[in-house]
Amino acid sequence: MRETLRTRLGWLHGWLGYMAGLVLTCIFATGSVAAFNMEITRWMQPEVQLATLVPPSARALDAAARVVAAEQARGVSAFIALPSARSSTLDVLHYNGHEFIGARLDPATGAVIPARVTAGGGLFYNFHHTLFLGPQMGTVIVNIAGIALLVAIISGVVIHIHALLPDIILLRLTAARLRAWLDAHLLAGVLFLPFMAMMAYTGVLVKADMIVPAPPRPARSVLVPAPPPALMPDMTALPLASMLARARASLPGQEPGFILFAPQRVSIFAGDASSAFLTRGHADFSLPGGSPLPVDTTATPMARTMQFMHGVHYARFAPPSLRWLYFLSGLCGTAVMASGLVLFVMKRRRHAGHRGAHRLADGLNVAVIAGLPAAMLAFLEGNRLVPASLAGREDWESAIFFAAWGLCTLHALFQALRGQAQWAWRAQLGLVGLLGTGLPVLDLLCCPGALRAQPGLHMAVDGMGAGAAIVALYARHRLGQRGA
Amino acid sequence: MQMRRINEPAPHPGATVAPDRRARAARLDRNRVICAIVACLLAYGVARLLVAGIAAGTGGPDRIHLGQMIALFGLPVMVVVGFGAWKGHAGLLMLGACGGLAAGLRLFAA
Repeated sequence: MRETLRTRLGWLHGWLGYMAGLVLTCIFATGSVAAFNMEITRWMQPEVQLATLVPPSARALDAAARVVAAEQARGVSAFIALPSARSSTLDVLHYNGHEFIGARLDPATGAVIPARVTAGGGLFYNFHHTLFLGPQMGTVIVNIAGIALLVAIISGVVIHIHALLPDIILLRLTAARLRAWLDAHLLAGVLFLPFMAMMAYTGVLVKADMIVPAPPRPARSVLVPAPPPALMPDMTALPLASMLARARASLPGQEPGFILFAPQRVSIFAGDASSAFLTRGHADFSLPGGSPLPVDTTATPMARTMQFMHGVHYARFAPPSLRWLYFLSGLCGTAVMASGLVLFVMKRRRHAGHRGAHRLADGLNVAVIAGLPAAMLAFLEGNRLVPASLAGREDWESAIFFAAWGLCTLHALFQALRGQAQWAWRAQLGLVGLLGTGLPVLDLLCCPGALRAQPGLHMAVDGMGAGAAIVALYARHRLGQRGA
Repeated sequence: MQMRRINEPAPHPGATVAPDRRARAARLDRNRVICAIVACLLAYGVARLLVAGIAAGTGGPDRIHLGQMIALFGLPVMVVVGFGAWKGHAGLLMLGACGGLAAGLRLFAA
């Protein structure tokens, strides 16, 4: 075979794309859903039925400070999340190693809302950026996958550069199966190329300090022993309401979002929804007096550029319409990767279909493309089925997600290694259909009050489940029509 | 030399050609894998050197950010070039030259 640039980059695109694609499909799918992480958390806490945004009262802030003090007495470092357009409660949250969880308070009265503890949309967010493998190993894998995506994008563009425009208008679903999949891969790939490139580049920039860290600078002075840790002052006596008013004045154009506590100071940070620039501007107050501390909030053009890159990736500034666009574009990016995985296996079936490695790849495709949505839907349904008062129920929810996915993977590998991958496809697509259609029914049966209080939210989440079911059942139908 | 009878079937060409072809394909695959690994390692090294070179001096975090943006933009491009320009290992040589430039930049700034 004659070696040309196209054949060489085609090989790189195929192999690198397949190996990274298995991880990237999961990252893109969970990232797309994580665009609505707070909305999913609200859906998963049907006891919280506050629909309108109310600014936090002084009484509520005092109540939140008391909860923070109680958490600190237990050795838990908590902070206050102020109500926003996406979450109308006053939250006292802490990080449990995977998600931010904690008490939800009524911002008007300060009463604790007896909401079920849930892993919420945070599970998808956490999976998106660490694969649930911890901040070190998981992030490294995600970073490598991000760079691999950029390499696959560049090599893919070089391969198809002569036909980028025709690829946009070619979709021959009735052609041979391989041709139809390739058309779908190219069509979605070309249309969503800017989005995928933008998300991949800004995604790796978010973790730039980890991927390409700056060289350490030499220490200027001899090491001095660190001061002993200071004790936290009494949080219950803090004038949080007046601090919040002063912070609002010193953060022009930005709405306060979080209140963080340190032994010597209270910091009120701007919410991430304030602008496309993820500035993390803050106003500091000394403790225990509460007097303002000087803060330098000027940012250089380079720092602003970095803030913009972060903001564009996280999309926390985005209004609902733009958030939907992120979500749909993310799903189309997922489809590009999933179709690439299928193509990789399909192209090699004639020559290598009998090999164990090929069957393994086929099984992994089923586990990622059909098993992951099934696990995501099982996670949402698990939220309705796990008793609301069960201790550690957020861990149960996470366990349901991983157990469902693990079982799907085992089933897919078992069938694929027997040479019966199409059975695994049919069974798991059917499972997605079953779980997806069951989601609105379960929501209606378990939480009719929440459905009445927040119909838009529940219809959107339930509708997504139903949408996933329709797509899966259609795919299953096509699979049955055309054989393996 | 023994003459072959006219009604005797000719030896199947695949019997001799296929192993050779398979060996050639395996060698090509092996070379590609090695080249891809070397290109990735070299590109990453150059990216690290770029950050170190651009961040060297007294620019503070701004220069670090600039270096990271350029390095992360260039990293996938360098992998593709290092792997794609295979004739005479031109891509890998280019990466080596870029690494030398980045190291020089760091020495110059220091």
